[in-house]
Amino acid sequence: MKVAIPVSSKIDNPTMFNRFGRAKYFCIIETEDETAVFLDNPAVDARGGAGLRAVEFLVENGVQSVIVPQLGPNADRALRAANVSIFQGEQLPVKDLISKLKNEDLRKI
Amino acid sequence: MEIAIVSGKGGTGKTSLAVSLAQTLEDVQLIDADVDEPNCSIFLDMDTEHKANAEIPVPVINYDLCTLCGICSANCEYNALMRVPDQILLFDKMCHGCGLCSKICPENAITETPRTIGKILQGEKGNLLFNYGKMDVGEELSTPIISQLKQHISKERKIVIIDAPPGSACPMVETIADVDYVIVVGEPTPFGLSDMKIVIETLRILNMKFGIVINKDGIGDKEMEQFCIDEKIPILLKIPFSLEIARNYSKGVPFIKILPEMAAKFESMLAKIKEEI
Repeated sequence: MKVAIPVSSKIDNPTMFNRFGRAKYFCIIETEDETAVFLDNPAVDARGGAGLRAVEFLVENGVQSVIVPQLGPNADRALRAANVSIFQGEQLPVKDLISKLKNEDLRKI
Repeated sequence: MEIAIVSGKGGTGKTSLAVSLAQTLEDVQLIDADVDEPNCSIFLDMDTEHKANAEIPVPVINYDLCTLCGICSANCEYNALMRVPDQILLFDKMCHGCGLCSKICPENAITETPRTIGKILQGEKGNLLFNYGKMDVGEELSTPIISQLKQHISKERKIVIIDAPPGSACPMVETIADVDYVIVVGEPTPFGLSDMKIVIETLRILNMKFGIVINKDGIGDKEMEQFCIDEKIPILLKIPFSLEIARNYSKGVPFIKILPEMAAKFESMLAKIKEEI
């Protein structure tokens, strides 16, 4: 399963960024083998509707789950309509968040 | 003759001047185009009634024709459309009603339907015809409401005074489009001057004819006056700063009731404006 987490830098094991639609990058982690890639968020400078643009982009890239700090109502509706699972994250390194996800320690929202 | 009253900075006295002018002149229509927070009506003892809804067109997708190609969502400037695997989602409050999606849909699967975002109201008392726009709670697009409000400008009235929203961006530009003259109400403080300069830059780009009214004259400094002299911008009128005016304003009484002698100054201001246009 492909999981997206918003981050602000492309370093190894970055910490989750505190915003979703305006994050600079998304760290996309394949839970099978824990490989990670970074995608530039095309919505980072969107005039409006950044959350929606970001969701559309993630869906196009085959993301099935997101771990997020908080979500606006538009991004929330968009993720649900696209059948993307939403998990409540906290500001931890992405590897910690993935282990929490695997241990079913993250709340599905 | 259509005159818009703008300011840049909020609270410089646009509404005070607009209402005072409207209550002094004959055969006048007052338009309150500050549709986010219209308050000319507070100063007018007048009943108003609903004239029309302000609407924008939003897309409706016909799924018998839609192939989910995503051209509409990819090209939406406002990110109001989004493609998910089995549908195109519309986020109607993001939509500016530009109509691009319906034009570029290769399957002609998109039509438009009106969505109400505000109201146009009207009242009349004595010599004064009054119209204002009011945005619905939860909406954020004032420009289409202003443009539809301006369709209610009377061609029969001798003078139309339009009270603009503060700022210098789209709502202000929409308000002044096609008017004959713009009055910039300035507050002679560093903050007031800074915002006024931005408005003047905008007015110059748009080739508008304009002049300055200095309100609350006596507070702040002389920089605004000097700026007008240096830039050869006519100072049409000065309204003195007075606690008496402020106190009455807070009770909904416009300054013309406190300084009736301003009526004569309004006449000479209008004469100056007529010379310019």
